[in-house]
Amino acid sequence: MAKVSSLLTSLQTWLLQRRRSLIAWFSTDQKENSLPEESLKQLPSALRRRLMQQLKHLPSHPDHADQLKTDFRQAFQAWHSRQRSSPDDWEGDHHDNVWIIVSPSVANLPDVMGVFLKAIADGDAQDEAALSHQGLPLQLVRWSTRPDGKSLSKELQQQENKFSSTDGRRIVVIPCLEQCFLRSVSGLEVIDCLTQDLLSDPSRFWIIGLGQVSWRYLQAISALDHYSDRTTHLEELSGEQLSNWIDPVISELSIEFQSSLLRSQFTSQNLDWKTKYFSILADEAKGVDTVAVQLFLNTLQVINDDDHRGDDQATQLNDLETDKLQGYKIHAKLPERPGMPKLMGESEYLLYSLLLHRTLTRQELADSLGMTLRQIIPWIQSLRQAGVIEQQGQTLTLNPIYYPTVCTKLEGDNFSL
Amino acid sequence: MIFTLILATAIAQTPDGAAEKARDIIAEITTFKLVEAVIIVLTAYFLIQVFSRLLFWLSERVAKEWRLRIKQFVPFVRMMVLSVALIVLMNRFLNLSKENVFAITGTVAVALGFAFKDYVNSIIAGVLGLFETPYQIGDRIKIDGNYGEVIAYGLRGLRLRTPTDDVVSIPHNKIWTHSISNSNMGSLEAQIVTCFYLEHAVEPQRVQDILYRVAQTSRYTQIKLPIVVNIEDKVWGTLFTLKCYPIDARYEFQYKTDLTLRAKQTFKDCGISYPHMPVPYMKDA
Repeated sequence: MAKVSSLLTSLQTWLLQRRRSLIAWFSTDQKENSLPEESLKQLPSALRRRLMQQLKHLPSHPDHADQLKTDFRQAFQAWHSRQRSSPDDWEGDHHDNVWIIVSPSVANLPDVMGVFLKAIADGDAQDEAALSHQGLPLQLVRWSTRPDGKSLSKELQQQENKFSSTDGRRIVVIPCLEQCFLRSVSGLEVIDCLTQDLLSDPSRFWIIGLGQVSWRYLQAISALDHYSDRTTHLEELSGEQLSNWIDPVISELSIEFQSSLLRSQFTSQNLDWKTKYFSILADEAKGVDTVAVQLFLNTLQVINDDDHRGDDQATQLNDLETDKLQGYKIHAKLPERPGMPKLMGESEYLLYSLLLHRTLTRQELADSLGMTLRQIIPWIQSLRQAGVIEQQGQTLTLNPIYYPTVCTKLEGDNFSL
Repeated sequence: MIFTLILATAIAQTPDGAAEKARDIIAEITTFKLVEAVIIVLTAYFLIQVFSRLLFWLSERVAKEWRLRIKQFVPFVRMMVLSVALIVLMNRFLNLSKENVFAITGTVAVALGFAFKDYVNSIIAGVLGLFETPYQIGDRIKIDGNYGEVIAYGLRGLRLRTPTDDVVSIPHNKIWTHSISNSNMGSLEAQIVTCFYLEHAVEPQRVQDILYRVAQTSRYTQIKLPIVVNIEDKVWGTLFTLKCYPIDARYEFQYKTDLTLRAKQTFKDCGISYPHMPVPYMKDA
């Protein structure tokens, strides 16, 4: 009898603890769960814009720069000591003079590299053109338009003439290699020039940054991995790292994380909602900062503090100025990846091209696909309309929020990512 | 009707005991049983259609790596539905006791032996083909001079969609007598061979490099699989053969077109010329 009674007591306790999730499972009345969310409204557009700007201007995550600094020390030291110990070996085949940094294809690698370069530069690192490390000039190679093989060598030569070290040695940095080539017969000349002529020069220490998809592609077609023993893959950011990074924005707007959706998902009373939220955010964003920022923005909603306000007042939220948000609170709902819209024609090849090159003009996109502009414009329009790709000026990029979804789709469709 | 006649003829040729038993069974066939049989056949047909359409619909909506696997499931479902329908029918009509099964199998075997020899041959080949898998749905095969994608795997035969969009029906019993060449054997990739005919005077190394780049830059190319360029000297010029794999064999012909377009454009830019073939050698080409 006592056993039965204890069993019933433990069942009662379990039911009490689990009541939220059980109600969520069995409740047929959807309103029961959604009631607290009813007063949630989309962020006012002005506030969304301001937030977007703030998040865009966040400096790249400091942990990435730290990771690069540690790996750079080892790579640079290996090249440096090899030259000092056996200068005759300079003419040999293996120089240990290439260090490759691989990032997710939508991560802001040039920014990460910028922070890292300033961190390793000697003295005052404000002037990007006069950067140096241990007395060796840091030559940053960037182009406004995609170069060909000849202009790559010419640009390097011109910069070498500007800054020279005593022994002719230098550090050359290409922050975004995928913006130097195009997937076409002539567009790959720059990779041929780089691998056949430039990387073999032992007086240069190369720091090359590129996206994951480009890395896979160049490994397959040019065996780029054979030119370097040292490759650094940018680490995925954890929930805690993301939370610390976005914290200034969260504090400024006093964003709350204990939304009813989070409460219904997790019943433990002692849970730190913010920690849980960012752990889900990191998972959904695959640890990529640019994706996390977009997902974070999408989860924010405004809740009316005063329940007695009418619907009319609530609908006026969109017209609210950001400094007049008294009486409203910003809540974060559960982060969730957007679904993949139905793709038109062979649009998956277009998405792969954008992942491969990071940014492309329409003409470059057509050239890389081996098609005409007339053929690809309907696909571009359809993807832009669905929000999968974005156009900034003349260039097209993948909307970072779709990065995990697009990767899953392309991997399932047999693409090598 | 014809079947009953054949059956009756066959019964006449079987030993007395078995023939009597078979005659009893036929006598038990009533109109109600026949209506039931029609309903069972229609239900089986309806189920096969529903399952086939459902699986084909599903296969086009999931990730491509699952497409062929789902499609390859269709023949098994068909076979299962047909087997169940056949067992139910036999049970209704033949009252499947040990003696009845013996009596009828002998009778039916003789009847079928006369009338549906090739048909049964194809069905048996089809059932064996499900396990031997010389071809599956989604494979690109060449059989009896016909090349194309297997789009249906029926009870008696398969259907091929050719490059000219014709659908060719081929009985499964070709498995016994014909060689079958399968390009992808259930995988998404299938090797594509594209030929380029150039003058003797061209630099073979240069053309080889160009063709590698052509394959590496085509949007359809599966870059993780090998690309090979073979060179063969002919009387009229040099034959370059580019062998590579598309990400999805379904785009085989678009892939070939893309490779040819890119190569022709590059040959033009590099001043690489085509052979002027004397008429007697046209056949050789």
